[in-house]
Amino acid sequence: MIEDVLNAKFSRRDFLKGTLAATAAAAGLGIANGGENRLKASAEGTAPAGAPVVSDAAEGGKWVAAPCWHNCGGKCLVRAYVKDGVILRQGTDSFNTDDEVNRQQRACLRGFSQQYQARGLDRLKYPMKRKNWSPDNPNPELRGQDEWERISWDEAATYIHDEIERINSTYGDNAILTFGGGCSSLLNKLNINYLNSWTTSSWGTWFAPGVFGWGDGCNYYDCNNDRLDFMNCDYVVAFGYNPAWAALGNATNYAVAWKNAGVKFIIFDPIYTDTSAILDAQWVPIRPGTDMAAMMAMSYVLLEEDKDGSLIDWDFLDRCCVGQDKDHMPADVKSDENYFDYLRGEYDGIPKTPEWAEEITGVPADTLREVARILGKDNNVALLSSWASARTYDTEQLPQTAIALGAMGGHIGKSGNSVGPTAWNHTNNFGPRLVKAGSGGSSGATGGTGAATPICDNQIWKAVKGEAFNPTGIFTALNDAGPDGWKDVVSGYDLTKKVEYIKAPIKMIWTTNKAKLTTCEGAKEGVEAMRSVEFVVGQGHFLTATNKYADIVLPITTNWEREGSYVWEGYMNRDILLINRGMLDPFYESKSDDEAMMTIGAKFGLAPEMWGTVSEKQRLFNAVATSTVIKEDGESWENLVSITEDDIKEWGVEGEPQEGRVPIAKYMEDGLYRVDRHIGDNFGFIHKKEFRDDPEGHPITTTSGKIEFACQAWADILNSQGYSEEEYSAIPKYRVPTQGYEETFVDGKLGGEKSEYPLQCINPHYQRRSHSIFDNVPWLREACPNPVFLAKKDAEARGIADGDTVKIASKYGETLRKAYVTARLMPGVVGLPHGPWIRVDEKTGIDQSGSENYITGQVARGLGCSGYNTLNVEVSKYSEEIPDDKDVPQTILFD
Amino acid sequence: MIDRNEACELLLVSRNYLYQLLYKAFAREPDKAFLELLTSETTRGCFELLGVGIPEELSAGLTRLRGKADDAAFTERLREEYTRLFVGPLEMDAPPWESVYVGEEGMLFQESTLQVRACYHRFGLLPEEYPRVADDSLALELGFMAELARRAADAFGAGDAETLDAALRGARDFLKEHLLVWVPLLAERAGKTGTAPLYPQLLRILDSFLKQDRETLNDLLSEGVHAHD
Repeated sequence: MIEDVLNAKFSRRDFLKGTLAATAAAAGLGIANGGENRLKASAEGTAPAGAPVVSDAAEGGKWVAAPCWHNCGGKCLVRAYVKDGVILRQGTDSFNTDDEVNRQQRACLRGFSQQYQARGLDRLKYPMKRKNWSPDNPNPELRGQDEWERISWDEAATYIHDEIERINSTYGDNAILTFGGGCSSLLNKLNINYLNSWTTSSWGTWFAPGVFGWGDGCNYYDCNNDRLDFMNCDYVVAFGYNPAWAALGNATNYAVAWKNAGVKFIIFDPIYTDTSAILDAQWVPIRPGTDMAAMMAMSYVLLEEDKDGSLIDWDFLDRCCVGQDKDHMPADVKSDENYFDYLRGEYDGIPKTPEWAEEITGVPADTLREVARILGKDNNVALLSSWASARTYDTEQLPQTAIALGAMGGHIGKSGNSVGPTAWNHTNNFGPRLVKAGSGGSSGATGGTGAATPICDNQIWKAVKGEAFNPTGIFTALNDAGPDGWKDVVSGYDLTKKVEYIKAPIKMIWTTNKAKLTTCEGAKEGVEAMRSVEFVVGQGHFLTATNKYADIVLPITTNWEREGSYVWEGYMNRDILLINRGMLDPFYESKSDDEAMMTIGAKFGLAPEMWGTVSEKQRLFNAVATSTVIKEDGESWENLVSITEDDIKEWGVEGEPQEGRVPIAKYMEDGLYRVDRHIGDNFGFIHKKEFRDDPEGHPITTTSGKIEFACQAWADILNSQGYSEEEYSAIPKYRVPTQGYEETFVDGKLGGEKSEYPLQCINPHYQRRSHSIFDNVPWLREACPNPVFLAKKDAEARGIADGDTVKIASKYGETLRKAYVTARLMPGVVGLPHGPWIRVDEKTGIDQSGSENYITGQVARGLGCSGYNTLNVEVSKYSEEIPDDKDVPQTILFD
Repeated sequence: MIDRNEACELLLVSRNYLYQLLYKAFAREPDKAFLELLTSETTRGCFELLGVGIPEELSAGLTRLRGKADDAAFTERLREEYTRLFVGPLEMDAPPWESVYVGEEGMLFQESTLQVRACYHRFGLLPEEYPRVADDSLALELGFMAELARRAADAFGAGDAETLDAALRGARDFLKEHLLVWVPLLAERAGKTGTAPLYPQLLRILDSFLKQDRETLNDLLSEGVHAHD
């Protein structure tokens, strides 16, 4: 090369002059938007220049705790080996013992994908603005298909400030609709009244069982017996019970321990699930959304076949229950209808026989009789209803029906017997906590007067379009208040009047930590709604399905990048307490929700101190220091952690040394403390034992203090505050569900001509995701392809083979998936996994992601229950093949 | 006629200029000033001097670009392309981070990030936004090469043989261990993006330039180039 230059025919002087000038010009080209593309002198100084380039990268890191903080219910330990901001590998609970009684809290494939949340290529790095959005010319129809441009935080904050000010001064209250709480601190301090959506989401109609004196499996962990006591059951009879897919991990392990102790499982489910397989369960295939009919028919059988208490625990009913017959009516009922006479057909001429139920449920009458006999009083039975069967419209009285069925056999308040909802938030482990998180104390934040008007998810998109909606907050308040607080909630409402619907001038949508276009019904209508308002802000970790339709998106830090926190113990296995400690610096320009709100608040003149004056680190320390763990006697408590002067110095916080079970440094490094159990220990728990033994001395929290087969309070709440026109009675009555099995027939005539949408679609939880979280992780997309599950018979009838691309259509929308044809699914049922991020083909209007909520509709009934688990559809072979999700870009591509 | 030493100087000066230019090409949104430099005679002359073969269609493309530096709508289109390819938030057709190509995990902040950081550190450098940003982005790696090229050219002028030698060796090793491992893959992926008018082509040019620079560095090092006195 040097030879070539020697022979060059040009003026060296001119060449040098020109090149040096150009070099100066190139060096002078500025770099806008932050310094992430610039190098600076290293503070550590210069290493020996020219030292050979070798890899010494993998040494010298540190193990830190990053437990799974997502909402599948597993709540397992994830640990990460981090060096200088790089997660080199992940681990899990490898230090606790592992046997049937005490399980390690091992992470699943999702937990092992945690690092993607922090380091995924598709994380939001900068504030971004939709290119064709401007305050004067918002081009709202381009949401979801526009180009983007990078803006600074200052520009983003100015835009958002200006739009809030304009919209609030022009339209007033309730012009801003928020999804999630990431922006509520700001609106509150600005004294702006806004709308915030709520949903029964996973709970279904188990959303407010406190009115029945019951907790549920999420907010209240004491709704069933202790897991070790389940080993004393003869049978577990369960509806929609599939932890092997919903939560993975120990929720299934614990049930396996019961099986190994000799417990027999009977599981009602449209799918022969992995849970049924691993538990060697008797599978009772049942049509989706019909569990209430099956429960009623089994109660009928108990009544019909009982001979002098051979099946029914009359003593328990007499002492502990009201509303079952005319001799046990609670004082407050407004009608003299009782439940047993309803079952016998006294009021509607329809006895709720197994034959009646067979036609609805598809379960042979004889099977219902057999299971009913098992539910008789001489067996030790746990009757468990997962939330799945209650994610059906018009099942507001299902919880009551389930509790009544269990109560008839007397399966409440004694060892080996339990009646209640199950979900996986407590990892199938019920009873009061054995190790409790402490309190961080006040942050010193100050508030304003801006408040949220609640709006049910099932009405949000129609409300955006200007329709009136129900602004009641009673159902979410009931869910929060639980069994002990529901009466206080109700006292704030006038239940003699029907709630008045209102309209709101919704002009701005602000989506934070809720994925409404994924998890809320009617996503197709949702896309239209998001394109109809004047301004949309999104904030989060990724350009989620919902953020995609925003005008401005803000990058938010993950827990990996914050000071640290307890994983919410309300969702946690009672044996353990997980904690995470932030170990990474914020990713690019991301900020925490509060920091983002402070940045925007500054434009309004709000001081950052309004968001708190006590450091996050101090509050974390306070919380850890005040955490407690139960002692062996099962009654007294001690500090979870011991703290020395050196610890306090190292943390750089204020505090006092203390004695405790484990050194604070060890606890923070492990990320987990587990209370070990053994059979016969003092940590057992029998749900409602004191009540059973002495119902007068230990009444439950219903109006009557007893189990209410007739519950006037619930009927009054639904009739006053609910979403249905028809009246509810105090006793549970079977209602034909909107979008239920009956509607798969023309005019709802069972056994008649099939309607346009003859199949029933359910939404199994799927291993790829925890709800909507993790859908974008490439590893999980590859491992879990997310097909639609079709029954062999239905596929054959439609000429569909395994792997074919099919269209799943409802009256609300259409989506595409590849077919997985299986004999494990009851014919007539379609399994469309829950939670993919919508990906709409703008030309056809068809979703490409298999989104279950792109094909549901905005239906508000009863308590406003989300009924997406029961939807009527048709499936057909599609003309074009779609790619596997793993080959699809993580977010949309332009044409 | 020029002597061998002067020839070496021309090579050092040329590669310094092109690294400064190509660094900025990927470190900032395009504008008129950049397009004018990119399409200038100086740029063409330096590529030629260094023996970087620019295929006919790319050369013609650069000529066409020259006429468009004043076209605001066109420049705007290039900015969109830059955002889509290198910023997000939509799927990036050709994510400009080494870890994506070396690790195949689709994540940032991987082992290669630490290795690259160690390279910078050896020359007393660190990303300005460390540790919030991934060190192994295309812009930062080119910024590093640009800095080494500048040091080499300056050291030549200042007669600092030790610095010159270190800068040339550092650049040669970094090319071999890093940029040449993944820029060809990046260029290939970007080449599949269809209608983009600038960056896929620019990545092909970058790819050719880096490969040729390896030869230049080998030549300079085996020449035992000595600094001016």
